[in-house]
Amino acid sequence: MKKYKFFAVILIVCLQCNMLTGCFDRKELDDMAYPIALGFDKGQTNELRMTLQLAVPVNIAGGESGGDVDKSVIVVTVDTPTIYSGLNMLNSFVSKQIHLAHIKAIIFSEELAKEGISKYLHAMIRNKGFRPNAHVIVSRGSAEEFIGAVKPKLETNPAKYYEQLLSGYKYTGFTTDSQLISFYHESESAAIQPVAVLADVSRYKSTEEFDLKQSTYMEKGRKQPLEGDFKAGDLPKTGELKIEVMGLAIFNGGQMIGELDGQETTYHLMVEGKFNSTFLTMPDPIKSDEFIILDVRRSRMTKKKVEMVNGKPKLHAKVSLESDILSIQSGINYESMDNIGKLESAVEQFIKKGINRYLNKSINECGTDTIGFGKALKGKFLTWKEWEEFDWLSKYKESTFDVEVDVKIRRPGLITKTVPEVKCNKK
Amino acid sequence: MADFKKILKDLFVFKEPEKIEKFILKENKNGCDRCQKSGNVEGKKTESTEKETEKKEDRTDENNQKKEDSGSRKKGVKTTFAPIIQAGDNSKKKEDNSKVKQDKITKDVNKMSKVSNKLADNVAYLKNKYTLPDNGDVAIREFSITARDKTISACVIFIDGMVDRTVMDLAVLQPLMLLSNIEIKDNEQDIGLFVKNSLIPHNQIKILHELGKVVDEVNFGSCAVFVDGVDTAFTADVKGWQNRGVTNPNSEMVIRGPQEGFNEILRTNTALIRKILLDEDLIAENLSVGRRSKTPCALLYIKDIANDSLVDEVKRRLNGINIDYLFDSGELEQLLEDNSYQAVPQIIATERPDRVASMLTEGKVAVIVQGSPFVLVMPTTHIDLFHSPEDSYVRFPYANLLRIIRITAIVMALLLPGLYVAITNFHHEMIPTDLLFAIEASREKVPFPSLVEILIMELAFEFIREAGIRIPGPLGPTLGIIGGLILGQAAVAANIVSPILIIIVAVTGIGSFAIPNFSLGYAYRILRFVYIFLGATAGFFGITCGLFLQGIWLTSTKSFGVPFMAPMGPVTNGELADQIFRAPIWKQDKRPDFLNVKNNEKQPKISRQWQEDEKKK
Amino acid sequence: MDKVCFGKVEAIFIIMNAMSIQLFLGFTRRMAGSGGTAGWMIPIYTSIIALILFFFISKLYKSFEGKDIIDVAEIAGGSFGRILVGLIFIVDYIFILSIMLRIFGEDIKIFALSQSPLSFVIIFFIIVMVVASYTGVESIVRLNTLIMPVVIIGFLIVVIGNIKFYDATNLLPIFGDGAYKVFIKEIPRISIYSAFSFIFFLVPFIGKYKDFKSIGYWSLIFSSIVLTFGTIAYFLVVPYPTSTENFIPYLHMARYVNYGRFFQRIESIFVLMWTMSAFVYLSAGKFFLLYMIKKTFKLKYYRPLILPIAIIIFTLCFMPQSLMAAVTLEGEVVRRFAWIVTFIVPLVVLIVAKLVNRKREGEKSNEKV
Repeated sequence: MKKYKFFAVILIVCLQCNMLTGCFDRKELDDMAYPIALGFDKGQTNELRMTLQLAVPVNIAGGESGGDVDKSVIVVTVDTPTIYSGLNMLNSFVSKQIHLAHIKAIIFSEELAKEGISKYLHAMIRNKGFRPNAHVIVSRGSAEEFIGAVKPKLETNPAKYYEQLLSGYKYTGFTTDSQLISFYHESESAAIQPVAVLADVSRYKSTEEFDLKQSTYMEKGRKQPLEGDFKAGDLPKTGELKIEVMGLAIFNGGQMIGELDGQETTYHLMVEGKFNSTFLTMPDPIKSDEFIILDVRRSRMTKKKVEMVNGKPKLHAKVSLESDILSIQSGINYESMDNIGKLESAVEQFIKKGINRYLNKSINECGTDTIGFGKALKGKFLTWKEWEEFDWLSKYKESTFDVEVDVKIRRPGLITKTVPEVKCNKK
Repeated sequence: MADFKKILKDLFVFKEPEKIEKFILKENKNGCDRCQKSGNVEGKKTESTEKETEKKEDRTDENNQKKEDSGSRKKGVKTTFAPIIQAGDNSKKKEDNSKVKQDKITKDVNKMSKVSNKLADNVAYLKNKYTLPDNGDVAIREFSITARDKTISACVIFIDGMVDRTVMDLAVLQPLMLLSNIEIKDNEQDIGLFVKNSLIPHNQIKILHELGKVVDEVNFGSCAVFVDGVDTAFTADVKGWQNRGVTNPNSEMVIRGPQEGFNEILRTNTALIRKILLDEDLIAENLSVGRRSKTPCALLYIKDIANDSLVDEVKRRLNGINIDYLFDSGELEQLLEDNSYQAVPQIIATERPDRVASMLTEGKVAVIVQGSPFVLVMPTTHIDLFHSPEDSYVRFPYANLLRIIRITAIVMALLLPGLYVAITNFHHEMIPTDLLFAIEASREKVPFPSLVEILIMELAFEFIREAGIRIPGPLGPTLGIIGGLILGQAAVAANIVSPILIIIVAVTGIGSFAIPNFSLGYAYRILRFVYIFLGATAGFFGITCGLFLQGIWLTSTKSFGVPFMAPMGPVTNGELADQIFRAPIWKQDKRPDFLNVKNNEKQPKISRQWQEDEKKK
Repeated sequence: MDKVCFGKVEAIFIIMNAMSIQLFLGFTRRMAGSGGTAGWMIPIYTSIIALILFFFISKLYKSFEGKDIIDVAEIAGGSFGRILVGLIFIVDYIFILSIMLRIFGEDIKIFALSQSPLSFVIIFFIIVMVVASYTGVESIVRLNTLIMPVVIIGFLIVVIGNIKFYDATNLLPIFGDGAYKVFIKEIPRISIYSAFSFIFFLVPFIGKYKDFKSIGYWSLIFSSIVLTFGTIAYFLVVPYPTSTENFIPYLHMARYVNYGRFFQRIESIFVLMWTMSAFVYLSAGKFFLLYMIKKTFKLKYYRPLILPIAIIIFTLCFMPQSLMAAVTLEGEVVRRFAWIVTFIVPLVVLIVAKLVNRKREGEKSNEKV
């Protein structure tokens, strides 16, 4: 009988542990609030201004009210000294406990980024809650405005919106896959500097306000801007979808030092080797007021080599691409075997010019290696100390470079040549 | 007015409660009286206590007398059912005259153990033993044999309902009564031998000297013939009871494969197995289990494959069972198994003869129990419990697909609710974000914590399952399914549970139906609840802890000397050809090694000789 | 009497499990700390040194087939030797087990059950250890054979799932912190293989005594392969010096696995698998500890000791003040000195025993003459 009493007591204790809803770590799903995006600004009354975009699951999943997107998220903002004190303050008025496991996008404002974000990154890596594959975004305006402007129309779930918007790097080439963890590793690395996605709220409210003052096409010597000659926020667009993602923010360690526009981003990706595919528009080599559009893809990894010539680094890069023809506006038969060589060399020249311009900018304006040439140099040292003393990132400013581009045109699409249209003779 | 007062008085004045005499079982101080009379107690005690019984006899003679009287009083009721009690009655009417004689007879009869020369003694013994006027379906038929111009009286005793009356009439009574006077060319002087050799043309006759054995035979459906002047009894096996024929097995259905299942008769079952194996090395030993019921059991094994020590161990365990009555092979299983507290069964019970036959050829031992259509096969390993009978009959690709599906179903039936509770309570980051919002939206209106929710749904499912067994007719399964669906839908609409839980519980239930072995299904149903609690206490960590403890429990079990998780627990030398995944039949060369069989090779390396011949061409 | 014995494969698996379990803790971080980007060389060359030492040990062991180290100590020094050697091993095992238990518990607390009190988490471990010790070493070893494939598959999924983060230049510069530091100063790192002392207590359980040599060699080789491979995989993903920051390196790697919107943040499943491995390690350790105590003090039964030893280990594991203290203790004390207990003590004991044996034989032959 004693044995049974003993077991009965243990059983009762165990059952009580389970039935009571407070068994140490046990948190019910509906006891938590899930923010999807986190925004950091420079605070006015305090160090940091944190903005949180909380998901309202009842409105996301319940389709009865028509899925009114405005109601599927709630935005709250606090001024706080640090991240976790901000969470504390937020917990005091948000009814559910804030759970960080589903944050998909972390947004820093440009102001804050220029001061340095390393301390916040360390805090985020240390916590088990943050997803290592959250995207790091730098917003050219304020993060609060950015988050407030996120109103996804094609999805009911804003998390899905972020994930899909930021995976555009695979097919546009105007942004990159800046995950929190790669950003963090690169910021601590002595061979490469991190980059982050540049995004902004679109500036124009109606089509009459379009203007090209902010575009960079004039610096590049073009008569009209190509599609990549803008930075985020400057795109001549209107509509309900307000967020634009184009360009990169360049960092030195944890501090932002420069911006790239869309086309420079494409070249950056090409040289670094993370390029995937994009539509490339270039002027026709023969009729320079018409355009040729190609669908360019990476064919091989970029080969990078660094040589030290008289104590100054000389960078070699070989970019291999392949492309399909999308449109030949002039109708010239570039698809034939005689002309295809001309087209290829024209494309190569165009891209090489762009890359050279970009590399010049990175050396003169930014002064640090964001592409990762340092990695190719690391193998020449035997011990870590020697590498550290070499201090590649400072030596980068003195480098000269030599870029080779190799483009092969593979397929012409569905049409193999353009027969010109026939018009009637009006005379 | 007086009535009214009486009623009030009844209501308000305390009265002692009435003495309602319920039936109270008398305690046995002297041993039970009925047993004394019929001598059953003596028959079952050992010789050392015979002296005691002699003393008791003297005391209880008067009791016996009273019983006889009461028996004759009840005679009026019973005559319609027991037409052949005339003999017994006759002896009672002579009570007054032959009281002394009767005493002597009862004394003698209780001491009798061997068949006596006198018919009257034998008849008296039998009446005593079977409590004859009371026991309505035991019949004694006295008749006379005329052999060689001599009239000898004889009697036959049988139990009505267990014998085939036609066979008995034709093969036993008719020759003895009618044809015994035919001129027989034999010059046999001994009547007994003469009767046996020439007068009872039946295919199975036993000559018995001991009355105990005669009684055993009669109990099992034989008829016993006693001849006056012969000190042996002849028993003829004329079993002819009503029984269920050989039908489809109820619990193990296959598409491709024989559709015969065992029924309750021992001989039919052994015949079904012999029909498949056709091997003279297949031994079916007879044993009886149970002191009173003497249930016949058969122990089957193949002589030159099965391990001798295994057979001896099974025999030792069967002979060492000391119970009164054995009803079903389920009880025998619980008496034989190594560890009764283990959740998982250690003996396979199956209804299919082809399955038993294939397991016998692997070197296992089977026990058939009379009265149960489930045959026990031992030893078994945990992997064997996952095998279905159809696995060998379908082709190689489908068999492996079925096995994969079955193992997945079993794992889900055990772990899915626990994993759901662990993930939604502890590891929120694992859920994809869309799914998370869907779950949370539906859980918003539910008042219970998810553990209570899942327990409610699981319990409801178990209720439906248990109730569905007892609904008669074709309505049973349909009602179960409809009940489950409607209950689930109504519960969701009432916001008691969230919809995703219905799916989880349904998948779990369906998975548990996919378990081929019935007992294992029960085992995993119990363990599932343990995992739910563990998942709610400590998330994945708790479930891991539970899996580890269960693994330790299983690997330390042995089933008849074979470690339970062989061939992977202890890595054995034998081939893994048919354990988890099945190799094609022509590749399964060897028997599993952990059974230590005598002859390891099932088939030579090249078992498809026709392919070899083709190559040589 | 039925002797508990198990085969070669099972013995190899259990020793391999004991040595590889530290891969899932802070092993790679320590390698990065000691050797910089050349940290992956440390497991390889320490295993070569261990193999050489084992070669000598197995040569000496030939005359003592079937006896575990405590019996050999008895031959060497009588009761005094037996108790001395037994006490050394007992103290070593209790120390290591309690520290490892604390570290396992704290690791689970860091990422899975962060609000629960530490004793709640450790109670699970203790219950498992106690139950497993009751059922004996047979079932632990058999269960290990079942679990190893699962753990290896989990490990491979983490390693393969991180492929898109691999960057071969993370392994450069080749010699990391310098050849001198890596090769000479870190020789005490041979303590990586300190769990190898299991084999000296496994000897009576092995079926065929000739397997002792092959078990030793194969388990050392396999675990060195696993450790090196695991370290290289980690170094490929996380560059130095960030690799010295991560507390539980493989947890971080499991977090990086990310395929599409569905297959993300699956570190909890890998916790499941690693915990199984940890359970086996702790249960086997506890069983051998009890076995040692029984043999040292010539007790008849070891079962009554199960609960008291469990309570002792439970109490000891709370002695370090914080996780950092426990990890420092493990890194500095255990990993620097455990190699003495694992390799040097058996060598010394065996040499002494062999000398004693020779002396005795000499006396006997003298007597005969």
